[in-house]
Amino acid sequence: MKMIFVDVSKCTGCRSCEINCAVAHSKSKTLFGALSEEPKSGRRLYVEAARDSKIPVLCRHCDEAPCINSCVSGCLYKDADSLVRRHKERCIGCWSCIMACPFGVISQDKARHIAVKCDRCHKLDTPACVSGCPTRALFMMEADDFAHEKRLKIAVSETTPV
Amino acid sequence: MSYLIVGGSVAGISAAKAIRRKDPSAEIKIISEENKPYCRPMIPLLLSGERDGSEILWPEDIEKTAWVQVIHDRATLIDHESKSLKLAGGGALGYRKILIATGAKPRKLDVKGSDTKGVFTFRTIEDVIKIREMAANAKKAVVIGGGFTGIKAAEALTKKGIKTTVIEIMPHILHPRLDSVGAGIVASALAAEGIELVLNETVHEIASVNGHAAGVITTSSKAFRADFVVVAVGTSPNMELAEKSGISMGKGIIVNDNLATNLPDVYSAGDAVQFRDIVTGQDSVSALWSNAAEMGRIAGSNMAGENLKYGGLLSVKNATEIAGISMISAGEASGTGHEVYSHTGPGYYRKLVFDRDVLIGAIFMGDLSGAGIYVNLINNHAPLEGLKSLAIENKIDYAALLSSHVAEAIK
Amino acid sequence: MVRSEDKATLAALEQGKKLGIRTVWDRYEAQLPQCGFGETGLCCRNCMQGPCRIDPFGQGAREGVCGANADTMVARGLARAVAGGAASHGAHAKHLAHTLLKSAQGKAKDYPIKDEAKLRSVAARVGIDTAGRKKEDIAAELASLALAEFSEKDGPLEWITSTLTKGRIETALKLGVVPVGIDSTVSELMHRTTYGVDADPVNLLLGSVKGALSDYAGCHLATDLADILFGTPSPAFTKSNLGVLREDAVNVALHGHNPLLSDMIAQVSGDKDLIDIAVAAGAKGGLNIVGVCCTGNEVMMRHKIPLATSSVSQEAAILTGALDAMVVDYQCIMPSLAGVAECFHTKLITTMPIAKIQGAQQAIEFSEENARDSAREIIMSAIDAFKKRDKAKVNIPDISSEALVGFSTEAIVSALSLLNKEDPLKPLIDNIVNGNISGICLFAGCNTVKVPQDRNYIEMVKILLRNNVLVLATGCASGAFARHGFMTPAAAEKYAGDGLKAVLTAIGKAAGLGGPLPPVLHMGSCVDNSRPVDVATAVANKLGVDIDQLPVVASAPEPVTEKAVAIGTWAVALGIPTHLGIIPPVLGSRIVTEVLTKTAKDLVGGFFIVEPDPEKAAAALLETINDRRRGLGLSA
Repeated sequence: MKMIFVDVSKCTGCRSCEINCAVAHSKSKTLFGALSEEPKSGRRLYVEAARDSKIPVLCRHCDEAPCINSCVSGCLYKDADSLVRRHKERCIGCWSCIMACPFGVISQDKARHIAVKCDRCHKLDTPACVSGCPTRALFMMEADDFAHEKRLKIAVSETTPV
Repeated sequence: MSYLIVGGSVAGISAAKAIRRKDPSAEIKIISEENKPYCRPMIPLLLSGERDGSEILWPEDIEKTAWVQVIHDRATLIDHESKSLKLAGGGALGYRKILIATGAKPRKLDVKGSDTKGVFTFRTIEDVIKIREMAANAKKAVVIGGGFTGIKAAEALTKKGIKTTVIEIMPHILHPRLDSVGAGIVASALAAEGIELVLNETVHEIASVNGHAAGVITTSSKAFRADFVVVAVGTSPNMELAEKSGISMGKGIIVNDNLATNLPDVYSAGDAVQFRDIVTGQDSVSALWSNAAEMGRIAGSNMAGENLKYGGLLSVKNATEIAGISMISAGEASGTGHEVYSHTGPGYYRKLVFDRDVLIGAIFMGDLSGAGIYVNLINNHAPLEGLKSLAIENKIDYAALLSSHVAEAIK
Repeated sequence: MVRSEDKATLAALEQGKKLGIRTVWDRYEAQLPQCGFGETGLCCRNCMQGPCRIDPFGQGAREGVCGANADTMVARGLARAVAGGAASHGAHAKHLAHTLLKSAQGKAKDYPIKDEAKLRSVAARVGIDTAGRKKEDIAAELASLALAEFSEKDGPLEWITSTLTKGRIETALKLGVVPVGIDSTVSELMHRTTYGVDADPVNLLLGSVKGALSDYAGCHLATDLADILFGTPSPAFTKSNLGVLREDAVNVALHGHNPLLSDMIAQVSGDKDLIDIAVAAGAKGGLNIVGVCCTGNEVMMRHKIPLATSSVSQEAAILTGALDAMVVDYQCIMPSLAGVAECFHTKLITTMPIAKIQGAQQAIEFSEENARDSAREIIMSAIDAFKKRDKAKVNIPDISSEALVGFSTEAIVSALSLLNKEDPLKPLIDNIVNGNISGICLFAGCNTVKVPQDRNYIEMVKILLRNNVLVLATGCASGAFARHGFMTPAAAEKYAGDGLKAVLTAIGKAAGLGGPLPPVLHMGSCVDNSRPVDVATAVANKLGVDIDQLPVVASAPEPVTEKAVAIGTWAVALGIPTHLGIIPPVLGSRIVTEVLTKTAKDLVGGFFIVEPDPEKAAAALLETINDRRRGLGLSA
């Protein structure tokens, strides 16, 4: 299954991915419509500044998801595509998942009083963050293909005469 | 031959699912005294009426999704020579591996009157049903114990219109999960909800009238009237089965890093177990859902042939919301005698506790963003070196953790 | 996405696609999705502590580095846009003023004063004594007065106090927004919006109104001076759309804004010797001058020069393969034209030292002193290019529409006087009162890439005409209507409601048209938006009310430029409810959005109606017209 990869060298920190994520999870699915909704939608990924780089931090939909393991109400689960998703009505706002996530990518929706996390835009062909990235810093690829490309790069660099 | 799991709460179910993932064809049986498995942390919502009985049940029917057989019975003895588990309802079950996930029970208060009618514990669905019946005609209640259980009981009862007083032995509530500052913030909010908090008081006696609890008297002779009393003074591990079966015990069932007991093929996980606390280094018992889930997963995987090590537990590691204040705390939350950095602002309180440059404790209130990163740093119990200053400035996010690696990779 | 409702544009784009040429539509698609911070007005680059952005969802940063909040950021951005617009129209007017002065001083022989009557009436209006004086003297004084409008004067701008109702001037005085200098107001806006000056959103908005009124003054000045130098337009039939290009002629497109350039080229295109050279080069049809954008409108209104296309489809003119030269001065000229021209034999010729384009095939220094010679040089250059035309690439869409244009204020009054010589406004007012004309709508503005070209115009005008609204148009709005056949008598028969049709027919018959006037009256270029204001002012004064009580509305269904922002703002400030068909970058601020769409009504009587859906927009305008009618005690 395709995963979202990040080419950090291409991230300009413009946060278009965050805005697109928030809009994609609004009711109206347009920026202007989303701004007039109450309560407002929110982003599920976070662009952080780290020394000289700008790094988008996303949910990995972990195989052994610490958030699922910590969920006390049976809200978080793995769906048929191996995505970590929520049964929203089961969330009791206990925030155990926030405590468990080592990447810090679960947040509180204070208005709705439930935990909020990336759902990999499972209803769209391409996740909103990826389609909204103006520099293709975020891109989708099969993990095997990504590893293959990396191996090729290293092979070339190791065999190219200096 | 079957995998047997004694106890059907989160440790047992996590173990069952872990076994099923590793061994698709195994026979797995859970022996449980309670009816259907449910999410114990949701009990306060059942009491307050915010959720009903069907809504707090375990979300999946593991009998169907994991092909686990749930047997409604009580286990009485593990005969490790014949490798069989004796059941109270008669009969025995043979086992390949067995997990003791018997959990814990509410501790009894050792004072006069603690057996009177109208004195309840607050742990199971049965407890809630009894309290609800009582509360229907009551106006006032006293909750003994100002930990999470007691405070959540008080909040739920308040939502049902019962005027509630909480009596706590320590100088502040929610010890040791919050420090005095954090507890103070919560206490103010609880007071605003109409909950009376009585601190630094020890209960001397539960007074009764006509054989029914009518109030509580402290050692300093203060009296608090009540129509009923809820006792929430902690839990103690259910160790009868272990004791009878010859399993080594201390404060809880003793297990090694693989969560195996001294008896071959017998494991234990969850509230019944004692294990090394990552921060204090001492063996402790933890009554925390997340620890039980983690231990169950590791024990189950090991029962099915893995060799996973449990790295230790944090006896303080909790996330919840009380009086509208969301909070996460882990490790050494009070911080006395250690290097402490704290920030208070409008609607939030953040505190980090260090032992040199190892993060050993943290409290987050109001603003929980990124809390999991810090909790994981506490779990790792490793020197932070250059990251310590970032942590203090609350600038640790996953990007910061990555960046040193990334900077190298980009070069 | 459907790119255009104009089949000629689509045909030209097909041609371009075959040759692999990227146009504005391709570049727009490559920009998608556009940045949400920019769309909401929540980004600022005014200082080097930025660039800053404010999260419209309230989760990220709530202020810029300096502490500017969303309201300040949005209001500042709007103010800078108005400044950009006012600077543009001001520069256009200033250029004309310099030329008039040079003309009066005998230093610009190629720019004689064509309309002396207009000169005298404008001079009289601004308090210049005209009795017994030579036109050169009057012109010199008028030009000096005009030039003085640009820096800070001791009092309000003449082109405001002499053109608006007393009520409008009082309203502006009360709000403290009467400008005393066109350029000085632009400079003030740049100062107010730079790092650490004006941070109060409402104060900034009032500053924008002041800037917009400077823009208005610049527009009116430009119209006046262009009429004086080149003649006041009067109605004439012409054509529009790409079909006006001719395979057998040297095609020269005039693009940009100032008639100082375009009118001169229009004039020299009649020089017999040049036509002969063209014919000798193989162009049997001689010289064919066509227009694009506002300058196209200027020469269309005065010389019946056909309008080839409008702003968003400007590249399409070159894609026909038949354009030998595109001559540009300033504003609305896409830098991409040089590259598109490169794919053909076409020469993009720039003419202004402040408006150069990399890759333009030729840059001529056009000066007022040598205007005629420069214009002839340009024509020669076009004939030269014609010789290199690749016949295989020529594909002129056989699509064009007739249009009756040239409705200056004077022309409208003149037409009305056919019905009532002594009191020409009376038939207009009477028909508004009796409901034959329910109200007036001015369509102005641009053509945008963000919606199918012209669609908003077409959908809206049909609804308004059906409901007896008299429609005026300027700029690329006029272009849209002209290209789709709305400026013909036949269009009145087809689209006008009965009441409106009756009035248009009465005037048309009186004018000897043999049919009704067109239902959409072309009043000129974008600076000529001052013309409908004159009509509104005259009607208001006659009725003894202010403009904000008249059933007059405006619509910019496809706004693009900063000039559009400025014009829209002054339309609102003049008490005219103004519709925008594209959402402006203000939604990031609740205060700014509220002021523009609601509070403005209490302050100035006008307000913005932001509505991308053309049907809903037309309905909102009709409702507003009815409200105004009710306010005057008229039947709705």
